[in-house]
Amino acid sequence: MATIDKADARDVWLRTRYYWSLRQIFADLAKKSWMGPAVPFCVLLIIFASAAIAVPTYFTAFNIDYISRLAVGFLLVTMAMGLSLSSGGIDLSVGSIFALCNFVALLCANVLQYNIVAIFGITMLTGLILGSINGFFIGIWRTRALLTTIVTLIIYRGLYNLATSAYATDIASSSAPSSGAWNALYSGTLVKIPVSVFILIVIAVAAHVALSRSPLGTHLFAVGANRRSARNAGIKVERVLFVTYCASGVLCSLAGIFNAAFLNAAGPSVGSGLELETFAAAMIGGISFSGGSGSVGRALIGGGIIFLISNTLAQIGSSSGVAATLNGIILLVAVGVDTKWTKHKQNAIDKSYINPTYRNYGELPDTGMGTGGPFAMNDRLSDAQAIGVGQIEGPEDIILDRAGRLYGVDRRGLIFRFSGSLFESQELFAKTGGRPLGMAFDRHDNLVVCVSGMGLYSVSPDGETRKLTNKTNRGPTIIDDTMLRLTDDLDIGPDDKIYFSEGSTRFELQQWAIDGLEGRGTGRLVCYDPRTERTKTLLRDLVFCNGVCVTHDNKSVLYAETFGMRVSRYWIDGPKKGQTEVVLDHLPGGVDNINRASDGGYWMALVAMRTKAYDIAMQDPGFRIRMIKRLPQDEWLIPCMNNGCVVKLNSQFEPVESFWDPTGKAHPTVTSMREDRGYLYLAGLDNNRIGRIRLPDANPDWVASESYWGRVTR
Amino acid sequence: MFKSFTRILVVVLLMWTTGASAQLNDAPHQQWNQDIVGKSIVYIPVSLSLPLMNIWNDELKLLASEAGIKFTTLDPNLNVNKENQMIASLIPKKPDLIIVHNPDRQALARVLKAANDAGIYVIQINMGSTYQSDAFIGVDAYDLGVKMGNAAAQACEAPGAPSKNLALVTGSLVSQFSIDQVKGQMAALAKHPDLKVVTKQVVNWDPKTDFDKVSTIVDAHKDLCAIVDEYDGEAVGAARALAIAGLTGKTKLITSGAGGKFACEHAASGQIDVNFSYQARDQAIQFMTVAQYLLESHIKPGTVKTTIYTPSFEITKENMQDMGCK
Repeated sequence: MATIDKADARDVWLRTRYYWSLRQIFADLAKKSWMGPAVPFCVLLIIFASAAIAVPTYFTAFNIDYISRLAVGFLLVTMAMGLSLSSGGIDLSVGSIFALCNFVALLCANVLQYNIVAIFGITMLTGLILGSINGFFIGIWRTRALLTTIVTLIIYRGLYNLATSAYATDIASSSAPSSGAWNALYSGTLVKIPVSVFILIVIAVAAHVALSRSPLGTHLFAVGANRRSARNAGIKVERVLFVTYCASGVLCSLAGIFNAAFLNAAGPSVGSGLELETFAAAMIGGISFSGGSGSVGRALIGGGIIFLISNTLAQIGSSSGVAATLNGIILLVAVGVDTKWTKHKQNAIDKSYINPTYRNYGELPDTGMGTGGPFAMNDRLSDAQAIGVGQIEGPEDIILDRAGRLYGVDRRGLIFRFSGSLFESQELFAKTGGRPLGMAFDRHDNLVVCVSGMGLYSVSPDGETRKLTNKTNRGPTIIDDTMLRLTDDLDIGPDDKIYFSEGSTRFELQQWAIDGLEGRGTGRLVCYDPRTERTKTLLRDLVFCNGVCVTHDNKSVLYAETFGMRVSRYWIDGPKKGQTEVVLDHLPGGVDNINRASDGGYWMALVAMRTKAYDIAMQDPGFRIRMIKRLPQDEWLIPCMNNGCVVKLNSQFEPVESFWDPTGKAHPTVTSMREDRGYLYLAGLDNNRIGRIRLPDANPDWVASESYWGRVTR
Repeated sequence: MFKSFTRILVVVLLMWTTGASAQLNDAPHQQWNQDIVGKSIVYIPVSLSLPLMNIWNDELKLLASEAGIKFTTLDPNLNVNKENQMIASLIPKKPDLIIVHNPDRQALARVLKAANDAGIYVIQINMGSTYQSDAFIGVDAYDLGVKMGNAAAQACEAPGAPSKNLALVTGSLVSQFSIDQVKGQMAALAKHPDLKVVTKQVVNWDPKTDFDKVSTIVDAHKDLCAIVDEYDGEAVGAARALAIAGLTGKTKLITSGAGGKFACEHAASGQIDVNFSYQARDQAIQFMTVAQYLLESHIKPGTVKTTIYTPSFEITKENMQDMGCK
């Protein structure tokens, strides 16, 4: 009778339990810009459904047609309100501008009998003038938006009362205008949707494009978020605000035109209270009162909510006090949620950003001194010759050119070159910015470099820097992972294609140990083809994809997964093209760079050594979740970063021997190494030097570049 | 035995299905049961905050319940946009008849036509619109305006009148009723070229606004011979303003309204000098009569255009006993 292995069952359970993370989905969703309006959108759907339940005749053709036409005016005014709120102000005069424009449109249509072009022209001009008065005071004279528009609210309402006392009876007494175009605004359809709704859609799309894709939109949100910073950034704050309030006025005038066509009325109740209703609508749509955020979509969703509530209440015949009270309560809730959400959003995202998963690294190979295995600790790096001590900061990778000059990356976004018999002469080779990491020479001796935070760059022999790519194709993820973030190491195939790794799409370079703690794997292997200038993701969900090396036979690419403690190969040629296979697993530490060796084997750097405690923790995601929640970050359990080694692999990828510095004085961390002309050069992410040891058995004439591109010199 | 049992059963069943009432089952009753009982009427006044619309509401509700009609009231509370939405919401619900009070000559015209087109009878009361529906029932506002103008002329030309100056206060600029009434007033006053209208004010049927405006008017013109105020529901504000200014009885307040208790009290106190009542309770009976006629007629909604002008009578302190005041 077979017995169930309890440990195995537990592993399977934990693996399954932590395969997906709801918290991560929440954190990712919360980061999305469309998440803000997603909640109000659900509310809108709920209200729509409740309306349909409360009013059985809701989904009749007549009602849908009627409410969509009626909503147009309100939605336009909500957009106007959203616009001023996004700019960090508020336009309380929207209701009065709306009423005045409604009046002007009716005067033109009913009394003066103008044609449709004149009605639109004159009314929109009225809106523009009224808005520009707001814009002049708020933008140019820098008065406070709230106070200014309260005053203009009163003045414009007064003008409306004056105007209506003179002309309202004429408007009401006239027979309805005979102009077909004017009537079409009320009852016409265009491509099977009401004309007014069609125009609203056109305006909304145009406004959306202007806000999200044009400099004006960017400037508007910049001014809204922080006026002073916007000014310091060279944005013409006055002009932006002036245009904003003008646009608000024009939107209100359009709303006035549609309302005039729809109701044909210039009575005392037109537009009164509209400023508060649209304010509530904008707030509930997720447009922050503090400015700097907002969108047309949010305005429309919020406007839809408030409109549907008030319309549904009218349909079920509730008394008018109910709608006002309900709107007030909604406004209060929206303001409260806005304040709390703005304050705690980042906190909530941060708390749920790290989501540990189950990872079993298998048997831990013995690295004890004198144990005889290939990983046995020794002191072969302790007396390494030091190059450029104090002259270079954090050379994550190094490389030598055909002439034997040594290049090292620097954490300050620089690449230094060392030359001379003892590399005593240092010169600044290139400025890349970002954090340069892995390097490789291409066929034409250009230095291709992975710059973390920026992408893939190429440096010509004269030190001129050029961007190759910073984007790849989008993966099936919630967060847009098009932009390359933690580009880490690269190598170049025989057809000049550049294979490079991205450690993680979720964590920055300085958080790379946290990526390990999570163990989930969001790294990628990406290929850039310089001929087509196309970038393509080859593999994803790698557990911190790090070192990349094209094998000697040019048939496959080796790639290391640091926090997978393994090395795999990806076939780029031959019958297995496109397939992957693990070549080395259960390593004693996380693998960093891999490079070719002169004897047909490979050099491999181990960084972040495993420990028994770390292994157990990685098999217990619940434990790590508790640790992250309860302990400050500097007390978290992370892999042993201050101790590493170089491992020599033979051509069959079997570990043969290793090189250690157990004192940690010269080369505590080894992230890369290169063999060149009988020497092995050493580099470390946080070291202050480059190291060199002599390899007595190595081919003293072997140059790495020539192993790729042959002995031909330019 | 069995035969008699089935006979009893049949009788019981018949009584149960016919409502077991003592009603006659002749042709008129059958017609009534078929066309009136269980039908639905929706009443939409501009607001239930004013006495006139409340009197109509109470009376219509009573009449409807007696007739077995389902009666609903919707209150847009002076918001014409909301009133439009309320009427629109009725179109798919298809009540049999709606009674509408238009605050604006234009604003509801289209939606009322849509209701007619959808097969709903529409009766417009007191304040009409540019759309002529099945019936308009209400006071002839022009005629009422002429009567008020004449009353004002009489007051101002009476010996001892403080001056020849008078003021007009109107409820609205956009209702058919107000527009016609002002026309009537002006037509009557035109026959008296010595009289001068010093100001025209609009108060949107709000007594508080009326009070504010009349207070200002009498401040500027202490010698007004008369104030012609469209509607007594708002004119109480004017009456109060006159009382405070000590002009009650000197400046004659001429208005019109629903009649009933409200008018009687103000006539008795002498705060309103002349009040032309259109007797809202009687009007409601007329509304219901025409409503029932339309329901029984089976005429296609929107085909007949009936106009019925209801009478108005002057209520003064002197004749109030005859006008139904106790």
